[in-house]
Amino acid sequence: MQRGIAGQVSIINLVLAVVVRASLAPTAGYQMVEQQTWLPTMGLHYAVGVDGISVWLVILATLMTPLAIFAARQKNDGNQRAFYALLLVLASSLIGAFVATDLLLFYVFFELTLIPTALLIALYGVGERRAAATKFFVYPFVGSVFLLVSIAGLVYVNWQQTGIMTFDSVALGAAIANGTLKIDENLERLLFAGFFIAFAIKTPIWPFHTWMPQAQAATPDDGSVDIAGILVKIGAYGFIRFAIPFFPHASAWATPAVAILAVISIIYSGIIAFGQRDMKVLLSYATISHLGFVMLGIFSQTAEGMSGAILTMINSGITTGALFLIVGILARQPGGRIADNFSGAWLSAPRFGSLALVAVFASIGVPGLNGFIGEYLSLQGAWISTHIGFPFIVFAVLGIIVSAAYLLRMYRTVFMGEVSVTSAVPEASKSELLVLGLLVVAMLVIGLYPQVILGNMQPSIAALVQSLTQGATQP
Amino acid sequence: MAQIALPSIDYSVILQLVIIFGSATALLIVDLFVAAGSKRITALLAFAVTVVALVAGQYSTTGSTLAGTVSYGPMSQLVNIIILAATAISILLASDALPKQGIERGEAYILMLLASGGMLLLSQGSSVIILFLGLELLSIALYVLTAIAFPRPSSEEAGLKYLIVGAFGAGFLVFGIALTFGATGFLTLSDIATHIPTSGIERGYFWVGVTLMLIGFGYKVSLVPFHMWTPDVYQGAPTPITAFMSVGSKVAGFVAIVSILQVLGTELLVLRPMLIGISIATMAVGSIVAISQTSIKRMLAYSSISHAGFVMLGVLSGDANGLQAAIFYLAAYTITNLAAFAVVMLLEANDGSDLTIADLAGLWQRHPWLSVVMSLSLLSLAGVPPTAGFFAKFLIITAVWQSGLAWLAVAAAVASAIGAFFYVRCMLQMYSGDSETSEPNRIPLASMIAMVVVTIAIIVVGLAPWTITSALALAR
Repeated sequence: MQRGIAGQVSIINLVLAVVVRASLAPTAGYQMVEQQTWLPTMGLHYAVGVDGISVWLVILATLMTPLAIFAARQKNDGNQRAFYALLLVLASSLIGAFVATDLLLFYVFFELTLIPTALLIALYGVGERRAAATKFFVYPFVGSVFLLVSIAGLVYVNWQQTGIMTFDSVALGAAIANGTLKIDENLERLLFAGFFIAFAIKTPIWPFHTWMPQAQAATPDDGSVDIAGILVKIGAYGFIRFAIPFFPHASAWATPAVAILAVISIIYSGIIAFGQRDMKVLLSYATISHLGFVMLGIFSQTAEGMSGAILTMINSGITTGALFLIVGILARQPGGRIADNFSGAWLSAPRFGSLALVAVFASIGVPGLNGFIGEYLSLQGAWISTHIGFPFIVFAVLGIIVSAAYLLRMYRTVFMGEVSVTSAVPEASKSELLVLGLLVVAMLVIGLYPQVILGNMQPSIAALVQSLTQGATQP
Repeated sequence: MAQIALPSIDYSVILQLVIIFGSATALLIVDLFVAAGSKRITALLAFAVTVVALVAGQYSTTGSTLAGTVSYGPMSQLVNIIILAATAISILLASDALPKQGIERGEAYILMLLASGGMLLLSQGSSVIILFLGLELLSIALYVLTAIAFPRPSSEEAGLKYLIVGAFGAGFLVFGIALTFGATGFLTLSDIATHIPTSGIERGYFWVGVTLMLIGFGYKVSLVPFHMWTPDVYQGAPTPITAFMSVGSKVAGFVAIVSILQVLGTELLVLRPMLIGISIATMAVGSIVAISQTSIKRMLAYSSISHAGFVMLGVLSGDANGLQAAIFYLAAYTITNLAAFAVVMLLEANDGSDLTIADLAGLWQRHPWLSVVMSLSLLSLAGVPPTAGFFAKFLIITAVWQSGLAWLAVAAAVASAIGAFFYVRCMLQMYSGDSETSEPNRIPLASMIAMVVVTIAIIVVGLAPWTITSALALAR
């Protein structure tokens, strides 16, 4: 029953998010703004709003929550209430982080996402769940305390120069873009470092990624928590929304180094994924690899790259979400999460197999499906960017080839070959096929007509890139 | 022979002190007539006294009396509220936990009242003699309370240890007071402030005196390197006493430190390097050593040391923002720590033996609500939103930035990151692993009320920090 209620609530959320998207005017700037004073002496507000960028992440979050609830199965300890409550708390803290326009409010939601996820792993996980949950909580938390120091510093510098104590990200961004707020070069780099460390761990990119595969190895087998987990795109979102616009000089200065880390992320996690037998850990490395493309796109600081990055974030959610659902269905069999224990699933479950194939292709980035557009745009942005350039692209493309290798090998092992008596996979249930089918339709639609997502995003992206160039040209 | 002129007394300024001390004395007699098995009556009377004193704070008038040695202002009003609320909650908790451990002694609650009176003196005192009086009163009551679990050896040992170290600290304070008096010729803080020697040997005496006074209070709030007693005493004392002492003497001690530092005015800059060193050392020792603790009370002791370092960051900035942040931090720490100790108290065995972190395993299955309370307080100690501890940490970091010590904010961040590790590890222990004992303890009513109040306070202060900051704005 709890599952039913949680599912209904999450679907209502999704509908509301779609309504928000539909009623959003195609202009830049935050809309549907709601603002209440929180702590007036400090200039704190409870301020939320959406724009063309954040609305898609809200939709992604609200889309993945019902999916996670759908994937969830009976818990061993029978306590369903806590499980679904925590999933919903996670979803609301994510939505909060995506719509917050006040810096401290964003920070509050940013940290709040840690609590439900860590508890989900600790309560319902498998294996070394406590160690994994602790690492999952502490590692990103360590990064985020530096974010807190940097936020306090940025606000303080602004207060010192303009006499206004505010945490409003719009006001701060505008002050930086039009030159009323000039931050000393070294201080800017240090403040940027605080933002960078928090977001890089959260994203995650190499070498800050180690918490993620460990956490995902300990999540429940059904994949529900992983599906909820992959929508934690706050790190990348934080780069787009805060780190780069606030510190245009420092981010331009840091871009080559970040691009190198991103490329290492793509290739390194691809190679590691190739060696994984546990399908969930493999998928978690695939996610890290996708986020490498996202980082390249974001730090290109071009309209193409940024659009590509956001599209890749959404794609990675849909595609990897579908793959986690597939692994979750497979994990019900005695073979568990280990690819080698399966064989010939296509023969016994042809519909399931064909849907899985589309998801695998989408994750690899086959043209015509959603993954291709996002990665292509990210790479194009990186190529034309004055900060990155084509040598990085060459290596990033190698990463795509590696991803084809490990994903296709996993698919071949599980679905091709002969059916053996011990590893026969029954056809997925009708509802599972329906959900997978809907996700595959989404992959096709975005792949064939990416304008559905990119279209309304453009004014916001254009405004963002314009304020970036404006800020960067301020002395 | 000249007539001794008695100073006029404005009782409305010292209303809370009069209520506490008067009723404590009266209760000592009343307690004689309370039967041995029903000492809860004394506890409830003591609780009622603190509540009356809390309310009386509204009717006290601002000003100073007794020849300028005791004063009452917006800041002491707020601090008194924190102290009295902490005392009230601690008495409620103690009225369940002490009898559970076989300590049927009415004087425990009266001693708690007297200790809170000492804390009020520290908060309201504006003369170094009153500060000394407050510190001694608070300490002596706490020595006895620490050892009240007689004949449990760990409690005896802790009481003795506390007494010896405390006497040492008091010695520093007295010597400091003597030197300061010698250098300036005054005992009231406002007079000292206007007579700080600018040169000569007196200046040397003055600085040594001030430093020694700070050391005296440094013992009380367990700043490194004066913290050695803390873990042993916290572990040995009966848990409700530990809870009371961990919050009350920290709040009162820091208020006294603030009073002394405010005397210095801009001269504070002379001491600043030392204070910065102490606060960094305190944060570092507290959070690093806490990692290796297995006993919850010892872990909370080191955590309290680490938090003292954070409060010191606010205090040493010397400006209004820092002061506000420090008081906010103390308020948040008080409610958080009381919640954590309340849970420890309810889970402890009846013989008062130590509760280890491993004992928390599976608490979620046994006592879902207790584990929620404990999680909230641990998250608040770690400074994770949406709890009171988060805003406290945020205000401290902001204040440190504003005093131009940005690098110190980074040091605070590192300490807080280290702290997060053991708080979170301890928290997740409750949600994973299976419980050893299956029988759920019953939660007595008084503890339940106390726990609900502090838990709600953690969330309310975390979500609506203006509940405290608006009072602080008055206290500027």
